[in-house]
Amino acid sequence: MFNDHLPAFKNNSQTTSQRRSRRGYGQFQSVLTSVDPAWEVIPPEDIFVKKKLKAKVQKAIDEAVKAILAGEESSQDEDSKLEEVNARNHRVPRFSSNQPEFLALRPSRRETDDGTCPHTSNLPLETQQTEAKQPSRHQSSRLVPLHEPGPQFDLDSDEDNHNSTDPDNELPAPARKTQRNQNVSTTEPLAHPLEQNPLVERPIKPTTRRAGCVQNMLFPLETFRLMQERGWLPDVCDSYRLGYELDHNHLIVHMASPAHDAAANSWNGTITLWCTNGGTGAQTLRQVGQGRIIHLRYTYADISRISMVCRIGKVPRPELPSPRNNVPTGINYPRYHRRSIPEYGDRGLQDP
Amino acid sequence: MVIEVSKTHESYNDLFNDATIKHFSAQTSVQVWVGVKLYDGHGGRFRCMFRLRDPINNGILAGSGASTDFLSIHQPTNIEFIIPKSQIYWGVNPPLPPTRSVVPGPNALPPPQAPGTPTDDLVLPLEELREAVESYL
Repeated sequence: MFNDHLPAFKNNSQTTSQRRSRRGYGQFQSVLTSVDPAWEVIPPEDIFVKKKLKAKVQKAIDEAVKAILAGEESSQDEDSKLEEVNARNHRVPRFSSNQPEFLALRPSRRETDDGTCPHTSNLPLETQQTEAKQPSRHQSSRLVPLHEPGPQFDLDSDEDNHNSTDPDNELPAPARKTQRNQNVSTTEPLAHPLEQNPLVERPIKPTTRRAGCVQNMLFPLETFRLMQERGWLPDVCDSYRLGYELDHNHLIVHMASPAHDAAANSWNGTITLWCTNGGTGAQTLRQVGQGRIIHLRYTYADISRISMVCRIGKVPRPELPSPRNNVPTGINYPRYHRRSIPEYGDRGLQDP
Repeated sequence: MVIEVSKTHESYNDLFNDATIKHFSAQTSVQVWVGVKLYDGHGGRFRCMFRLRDPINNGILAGSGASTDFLSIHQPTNIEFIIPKSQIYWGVNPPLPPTRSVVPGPNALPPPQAPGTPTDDLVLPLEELREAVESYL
């Protein structure tokens, strides 16, 4: 579609269409633009190619995947052992059945055997602060009793400090991590946690994880969407399907194993029978996705979308009877990112 | 309803953090979250839990749902999760669609107020999950 009222893009050396056709892109006549014709319009592909960002990102993803595969056994064992110790000590019964959730309620004070609160004894006085040197960041965080959200929220744990010394694993610290330490005063009296609003005082934990996180790169949302829509993020590594998540501008790679899909699909029959009232009622629920096997998603989600593979590059005509045209709107179907993104010169596939 | 499965690179606490921060955030309408944590060690174990959304403040509703302890992947279990029908059909104007009624077992979580009576809530037996995952651990 071309608007004659708008000036077509012209460059002194070569036009974008010429450069694109030379690189194997589809042909298109002009670019709609109202800017100065002397300006050079750089498509995002060129930016990525010039700066070699595409290769760098894919290389970083490969490294993240290798790190996941390399650290698979050790991390699992540590996790299992740690949780087993917690279960044996009965110190953290927070996830037992019908217990209040720890994220909504602040952890109460732990009392010692003699009934005194250890936090009050460990609470540093003002005089101690004047006599002693200014405690380090680690020490000051350790001396804050009531704002210590617990081991599960310990942002300054030894593990984190150990990892922070490693420049390869170093990630930009979230702002709230520093803010928490700044807002904490070790000398002023602190109210009882139960007297405060637990919802306001809800501890916040950064969701950025180190496992599977692409190191030393931050991804703005637009960049992440661009790479996702262009299909520049690899989908599969060996037999693992890769999923991606943008968390605080960190790209996190998820690898779904067959166990994930087996667990996720294990209740399909039960849910289907339940929602159809034994098979006599209308289907009211549907499965919208899973981690690994994507073709089952189409099968369970909508039977009419199975023929989508044969219709790549074609736009269904609404006047013709097609099961795809009967799909009601307003439902967020899974998008076919790689195949449905229209390339230059290609009409692409239009999702309903 | 969201079913989140964690096997290796996501700890037990990470599951709950995901439920609170991501699935039950203000930008979503997820009402029920079911978590499954799989362990390779000790011959294969797993833990299951489910939580409901806090309709006012988002996040996990305090006191909602249930959790299991470590369960062996090779040992049958009769634990069942009873998920409220109203939560699954959240946003649907009454009357809700008819669903199948079953009698929960003695180890259903959370324990029903009237044991032995049929309910039309969604009953998810963990035995089905165990059978499905058994060959992959």
